[in-house]
Amino acid sequence: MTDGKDKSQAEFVSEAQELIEALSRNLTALERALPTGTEEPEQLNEAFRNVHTLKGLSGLFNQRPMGELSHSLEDLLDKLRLGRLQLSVEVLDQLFAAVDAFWHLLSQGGNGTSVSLAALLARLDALTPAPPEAPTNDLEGYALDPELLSVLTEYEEHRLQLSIKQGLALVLVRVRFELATLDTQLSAVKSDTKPFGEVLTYLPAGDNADPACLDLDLLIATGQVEEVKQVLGSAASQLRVIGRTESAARPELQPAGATEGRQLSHAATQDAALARSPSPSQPIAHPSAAPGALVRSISQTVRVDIRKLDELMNVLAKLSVLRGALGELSETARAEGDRQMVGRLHHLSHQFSRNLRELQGGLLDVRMVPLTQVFERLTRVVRQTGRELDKDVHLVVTGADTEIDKLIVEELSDPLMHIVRNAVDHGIEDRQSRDRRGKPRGGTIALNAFQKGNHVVIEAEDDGCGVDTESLVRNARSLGLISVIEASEMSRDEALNLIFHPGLSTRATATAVSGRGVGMDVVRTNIAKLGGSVELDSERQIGTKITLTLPLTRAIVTALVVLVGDSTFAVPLNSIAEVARLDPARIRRVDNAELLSRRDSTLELRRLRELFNLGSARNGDRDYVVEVKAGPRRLGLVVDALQGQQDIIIRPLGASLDGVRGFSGASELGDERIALVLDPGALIDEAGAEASATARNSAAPRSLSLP
Amino acid sequence: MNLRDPSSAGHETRLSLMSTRREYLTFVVAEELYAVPLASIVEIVAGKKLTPVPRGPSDVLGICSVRGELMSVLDVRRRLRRGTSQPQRGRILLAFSPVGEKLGLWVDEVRGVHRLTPGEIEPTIGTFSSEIGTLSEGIARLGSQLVVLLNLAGLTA
Repeated sequence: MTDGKDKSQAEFVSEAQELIEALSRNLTALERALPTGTEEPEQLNEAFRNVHTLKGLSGLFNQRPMGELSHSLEDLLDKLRLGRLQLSVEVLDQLFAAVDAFWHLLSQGGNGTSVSLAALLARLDALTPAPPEAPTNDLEGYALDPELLSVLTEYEEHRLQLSIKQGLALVLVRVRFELATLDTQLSAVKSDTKPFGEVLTYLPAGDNADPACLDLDLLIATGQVEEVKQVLGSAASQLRVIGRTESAARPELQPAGATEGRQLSHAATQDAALARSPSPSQPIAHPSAAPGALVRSISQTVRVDIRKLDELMNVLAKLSVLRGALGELSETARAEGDRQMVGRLHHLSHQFSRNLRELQGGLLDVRMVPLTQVFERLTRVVRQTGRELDKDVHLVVTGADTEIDKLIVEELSDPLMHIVRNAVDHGIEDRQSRDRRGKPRGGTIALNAFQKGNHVVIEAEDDGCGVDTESLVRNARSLGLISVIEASEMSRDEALNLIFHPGLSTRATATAVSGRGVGMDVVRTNIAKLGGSVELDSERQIGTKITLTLPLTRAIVTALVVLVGDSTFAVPLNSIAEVARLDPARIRRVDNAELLSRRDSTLELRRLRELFNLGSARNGDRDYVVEVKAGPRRLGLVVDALQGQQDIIIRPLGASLDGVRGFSGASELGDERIALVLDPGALIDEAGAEASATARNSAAPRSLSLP
Repeated sequence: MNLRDPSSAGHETRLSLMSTRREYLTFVVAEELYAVPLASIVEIVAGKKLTPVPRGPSDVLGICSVRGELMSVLDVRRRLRRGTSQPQRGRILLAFSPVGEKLGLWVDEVRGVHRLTPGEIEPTIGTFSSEIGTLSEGIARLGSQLVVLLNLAGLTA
């Protein structure tokens, strides 16, 4: 078996994925800061470290193409962080191209080879470094311990040189850390000082009696010494500003001949004598925290393959079936009148249900991931598309931390990509047009995500030109999708909805980016598959807003169980608008469709019995109508009977039933009974397609709304 | 259900020639005997209630649940152009399809397990109509009866 190999491969992929994501995040931050010249050197350094680790990882798992790419990238990033190469848009382009190449390689299991990789490697190498700066001797003027200087890495020395050039002050601070939490404390100190200065390096101070603690001397470059002092507060046991030797500012700290340097540890001991008493905020030494504790992982998280969670969901499904059986047993016992037994069974069944609910909640919780990953990729898509089309586009993201089921996140990437590409291509106008209309030259796309009850809403809004409904209607008419009369009677909303029609586009010619007419209909279908809906709102010259409403999870949904003949179906509750008895007196026939007239509207009906060919209708009992919705669209499904709500775990129909439209899966309800789960979005689409097909065949005006 | 003949367990180590033999599971569909490699069959289940899937392909009889897992069940009779099964009684062979999906094969009756060497299997070129030709790997003789060896990939594709 190749199980062990698969496992290590999976480990590689997930670890590499995290590193590439971190790299992408750092690059995105750098890109954002580039126009204002406020790039954080730390982000460049982080990016370098991401790639460095990735290189090591690739070597470990024998992933050669990945290793080669990491190697080239590492070189480039090293030059950048050492200031030998200036960060520019062009360089960032290549860096992002490398990120894409990483994703590509990873999607092929890390070992795929790609033709473009060689070209990319060549481009990376071609970014020739700037001629090396003449080595400056700025350091000589400072009272820095040569021992400290000798252990600086090249990068640290570069940062030190740069800080001095910028006229920043150097501060040496001694801080006591607890060994067990050294990493987290150190990064806390780094981020606390960040607004005012940069921690250039840190060295162990050595003479500390407590084995659970470690004193570090931090060398900080800052323009705001007082603020740094304040931030570090009592955590710092000593603080010393290192001045220039020539300067007489702090002669007491600068003995003559400082260029030879002063023993740092010596100086420190002297100073330490003045402030030996430990500060109150110092961590209390933990008795068990031996130096070896550092080796232990600080992270409390585990990585789990989503398929393992699916297996657990399977077990949960089985337990739910068992719970049903237990409940039935309890009912039987009640009927037989065994009082004591009934009491105990009932109690047991109740407890079982409660624990099952908790288990269910917990399992769902671990499936939730933030949208951050997807949104980050979108940032790059916008950037890239904007550059391809030579438009300035700015993406503003809010609510990236909104959480949603991992499986849904996976499926969101493509539809969202489509939407933002569309926004850049069709929405945002070119600079000249924007100038003419008095809009800012750069377009803005806002991506907002938030949770709303059991749903996650994602809005993509642009400040572009809006949807040209006239051209949509014209195209629909020339394609024969609507009649002339329909075209003339169409409301703006109806016309806007044409955008979801397969094969329709506002563009006469397709661009490389979008506009080939395969777009919004696919987006709507894919979102409907996830149990969600898409709405579009657009105002000419003002912009377009697309709203996706998605369920939090697809793993467990509450559904209404309905019966038609011998068949059982489940309708997800979140797509039901209303359920009512069907009053036959209110049904009207128009063409071949049945319409239910209600107080303020009419509802188109579809009988599941006919839709699914389930045999002839029964007589007698009255039917029910289940009104389902997808965005603004509604459809009435006629069923024989209702059987109440139930939490169901939806299983996909296998590959052999892949092409079957109208169902999103199936679920076992207990006693071997299986309910097919209806896909209301698909059924509504279908009804809409039929309606427009009828419209094409008959020129008669109709009151039916289009999809 | 243990499909393997317990008496055959020792043979494998004794004769290296035996290792070229493959075990086949034989079953009956429309009164004809067929066989598939035993290694490709995961399990045999019986007495399952099938749920038909409206609009599904005609050779999918429905879906059923085996210990909490849902799977599609194919009508072997229909695949073999021998009419259509009435899913009232029958057995389901669970097998993996080429795409890794677990599928059920609806058969009338399961006979047993037989070992065959490649030499005992005759090719079927031209023997059958083209449809069945693509589904069969060969033909073999078990005593007085002929058995058609089916190609599972073709059957579940």
